[in-house]
Amino acid sequence: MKKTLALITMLLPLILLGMSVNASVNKLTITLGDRLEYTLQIKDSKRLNISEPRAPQIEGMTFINMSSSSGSSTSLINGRLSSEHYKNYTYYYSPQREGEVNVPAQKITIANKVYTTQSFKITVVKGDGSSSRGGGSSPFGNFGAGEDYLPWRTDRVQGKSLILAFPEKSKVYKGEPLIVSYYLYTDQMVRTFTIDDETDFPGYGKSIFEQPTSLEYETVQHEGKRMQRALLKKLTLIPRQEGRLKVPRLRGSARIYEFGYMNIDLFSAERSFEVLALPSQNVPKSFTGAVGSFTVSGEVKEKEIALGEAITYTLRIAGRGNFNQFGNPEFASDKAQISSPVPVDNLEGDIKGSRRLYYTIVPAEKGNYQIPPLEFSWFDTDSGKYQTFKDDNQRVKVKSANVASYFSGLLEGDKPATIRPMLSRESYPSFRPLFHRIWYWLALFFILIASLFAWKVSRNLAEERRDPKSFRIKRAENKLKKELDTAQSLAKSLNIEFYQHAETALSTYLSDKYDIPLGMPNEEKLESLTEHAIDGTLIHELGSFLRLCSSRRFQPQGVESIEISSDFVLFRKLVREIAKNGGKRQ
Amino acid sequence: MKKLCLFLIAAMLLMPLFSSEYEKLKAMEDSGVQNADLFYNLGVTHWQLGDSGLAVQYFLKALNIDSAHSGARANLNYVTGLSEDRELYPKHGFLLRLTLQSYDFLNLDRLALISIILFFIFALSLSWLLFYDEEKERALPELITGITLLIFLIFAGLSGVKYYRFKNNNKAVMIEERADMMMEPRVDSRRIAVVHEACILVVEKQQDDWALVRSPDGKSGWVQSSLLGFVSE
Repeated sequence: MKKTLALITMLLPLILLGMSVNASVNKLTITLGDRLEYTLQIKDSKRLNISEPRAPQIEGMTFINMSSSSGSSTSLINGRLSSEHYKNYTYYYSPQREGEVNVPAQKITIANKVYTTQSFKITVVKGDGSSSRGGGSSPFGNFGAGEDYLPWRTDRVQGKSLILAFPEKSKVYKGEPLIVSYYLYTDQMVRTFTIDDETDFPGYGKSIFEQPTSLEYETVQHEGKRMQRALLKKLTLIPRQEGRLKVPRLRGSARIYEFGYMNIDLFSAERSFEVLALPSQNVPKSFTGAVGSFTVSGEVKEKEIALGEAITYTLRIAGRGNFNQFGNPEFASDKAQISSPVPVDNLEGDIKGSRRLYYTIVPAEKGNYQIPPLEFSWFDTDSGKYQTFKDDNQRVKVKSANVASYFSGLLEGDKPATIRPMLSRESYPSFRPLFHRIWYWLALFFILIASLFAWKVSRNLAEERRDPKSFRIKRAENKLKKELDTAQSLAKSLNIEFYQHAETALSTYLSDKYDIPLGMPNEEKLESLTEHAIDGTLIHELGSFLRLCSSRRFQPQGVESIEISSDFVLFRKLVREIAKNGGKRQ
Repeated sequence: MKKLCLFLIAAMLLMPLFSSEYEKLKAMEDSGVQNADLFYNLGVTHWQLGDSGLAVQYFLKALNIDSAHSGARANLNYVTGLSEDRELYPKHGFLLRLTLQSYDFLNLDRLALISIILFFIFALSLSWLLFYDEEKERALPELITGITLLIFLIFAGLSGVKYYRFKNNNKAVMIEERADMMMEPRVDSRRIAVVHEACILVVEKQQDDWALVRSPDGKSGWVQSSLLGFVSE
């Protein structure tokens, strides 16, 4: 079962890709003023080479016109590449009466095989007048029987039709574009024309310059005879070799109304033109193959920029010539970074109009920057000489970059942009944000510490201003506590300096707190303390300790560790007593 | 063995000399170098090679490191302006553009530097306020200190946001020609939209091989992660 399914899947594209003929109509109900479009679509996996099917006869409707189109598509199905070609033939009909109209099934014979299409029933109703024949989609206008604007008289049934090719010049230079116009000349009722093929000849490149979508007739005299002519196609030929070259021959089929419709095949008459060689003398160095009639100009919009900004240099080449056959000029080498040019074309048929080449230049240093010379040479077909455009006088002032220069592009939204060139850098150090650097955080920490310090100092100052006495006392107590730490370290190291330090600390404290002069003898200091309501025991202990300090300092046998330790304990006790309540009586 | 080691080291040292410019830049990137100019040059190289998606990815990487990189910004605008999805990007008014451009001008290092300077100025103003004569009117130093504190906090906040974006950039670029944005992270899910090469998307979530992305016009859908080039990898 699985194998069968797989086989069907494999064969499905082949089954689907056989020839098929389908018919369709644009509407099943139309009004009297409306138009019916009947389309035959023929599809095949191979290129279709079939003649146009006859327009179906529909009773109750008049055939107006037809158009055809063709195309192909390629797809990949189950890993197989397959192509599909199709041709659409659309026939336009105008209803003649109200009621039901039958569009019969058509029998189309292709390669001895008959294909039958389905039939349709069309209902024609009376219109509200809003529809008109002029709004249809016929590619070649409305050519109904009896319509007044037909370019020929309806009673004419004989005559001739031909295609004529007109090169616009008989002599051109090698590389110079030449437009060849193909016209249909006729005095018959040519309803439609289908271009089937073009026969090319060696020696030129070719592109379509213009291809009208409808036959626009004009009345002309041809060989003494009044005829109608319509432009079929205009080709651009770019000669690649010198000598006499033939223009391509156009082949197509005209659908002519003559008691019914008939197709005739037409070929354009053979025409040739002469190609002249370009002079080999005095060929400029910057000539890259441009041939034509050009006007060249260079422009720099910016007169002053900041370093790091880009200059846009615009080279404009306007006129007529082989725009697609020459290279873009390059600036001479320079310290600045210069991008490859970005072309912006405004061309008609690739040969007429203008080309703008945008160069982005980023100067490397400030000062008066002179843009390097730019040369463009071409062969001028009007004068028959080489011409050179040289722009070597463009200067731009380059200032130092600043903050404002970053925003210079804000108002330049409409300015044509190009990709900026690569930057030349000798090295690419890896990016480390400032947040990842230790000095940044150290600086931040330093500012923070300084701020805290300032806050602390300002608080002390404020406190001192508010209550100088209590501030002095507090400061003296803090100082004494600090001195206690120093005294401890001296005591630990059995340093005799401990006694002097302790004596000084206590004297300083008494001086700071009670305004007792430092130079006063100890006995007098202790007496003054009684005036400040200090506890008598504490005064006694202080007096004993100060005396002890004096005696220890001058003790001839030195101090033992046991003594200094017990003296420190005493000193600490005194300090704590003083700090506790300022030594005052409870 | 020793000779082999020496040969390998020599070969590794000489390799860049024989590589093309692109290979040199790419090798540098692969070695872990994070440099805005390197990414910018890689972007230009990819553009020249015809990979507009990768070019945009590298320009975004350059801007992620240095949002004030004018070359990367200009080229990013140029390439996205040529992409098929260029109409999806919102058009901003002048003031908003000015604001965004100002924010871009303040790259990570500039913001860090401005923040520390503002902190210093704030510390000075605070000191001025602390040591200001209590007898005098303190409105001026208080105002100055308040303003400097406010500005400092704004810039510190911006620095934080930018640093977070730098570390966790959630942008991605479509690097394939086109991709379908699906309703769910499944191939057979319903298609919401189609995005094309060089389209910048915001990644909202990642799940297995799929990423929930938001297109410039605000549509959200799932795209296969293999089709995206992430700015932060």
